[in-house]
Amino acid sequence: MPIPGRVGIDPDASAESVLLVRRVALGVIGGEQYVDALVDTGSTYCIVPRRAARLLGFNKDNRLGTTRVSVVGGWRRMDRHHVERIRVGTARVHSVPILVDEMGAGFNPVMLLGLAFLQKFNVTIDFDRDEILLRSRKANQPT
Amino acid sequence: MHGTLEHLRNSNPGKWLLILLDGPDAEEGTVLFAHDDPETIDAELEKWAYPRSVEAGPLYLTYALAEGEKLPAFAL
Repeated sequence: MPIPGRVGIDPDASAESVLLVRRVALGVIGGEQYVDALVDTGSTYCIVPRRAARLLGFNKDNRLGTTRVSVVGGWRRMDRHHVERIRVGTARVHSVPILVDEMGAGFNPVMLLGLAFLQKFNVTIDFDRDEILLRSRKANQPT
Repeated sequence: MHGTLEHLRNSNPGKWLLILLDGPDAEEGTVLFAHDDPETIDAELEKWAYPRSVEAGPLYLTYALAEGEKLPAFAL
């Protein structure tokens, strides 16, 4: 079950054109590695840059398959993998599918935090407090 | 170089940083590598590929924006 929580938005003026959250944990069996992320409600998947995927042991040889994704300007086929957990601030989701690809000019270092993670929560973006609240959804409550 | 994550980024503007965190969720860490060339970073990451990356401890791959550098507008 997803663990609700909150995370700070990078308030740096350099990052003000996007929702940038720092130090997102990607967990595999045995450990976690950390990257920065753009919050993107328009992205179906969480997309991890190849450089970070390499730290997790993900490469073309152990991918679970590929997924065809519509991006601006056409289609791309991305490698599909699975992480044990994604932690964003104090929120956490277990067993999350990810795609591995590059983000494009200017965004190579960061991952995209898409709906595969976000839709586990009721998401509130508080621009006044520079934070994102990730609250429990009724659909996730035990009956 | 060891310090807070903010200090490490501020000390290395315009560079990719591979930081060994002091522990899970630690606010401090040690810079293992800093470089402004992504291809050089790629080569360096080969040395830290799994499982060494997991054995080493929590690694944080980040980019320190340079003074005045803006992330581009984003649409996907």
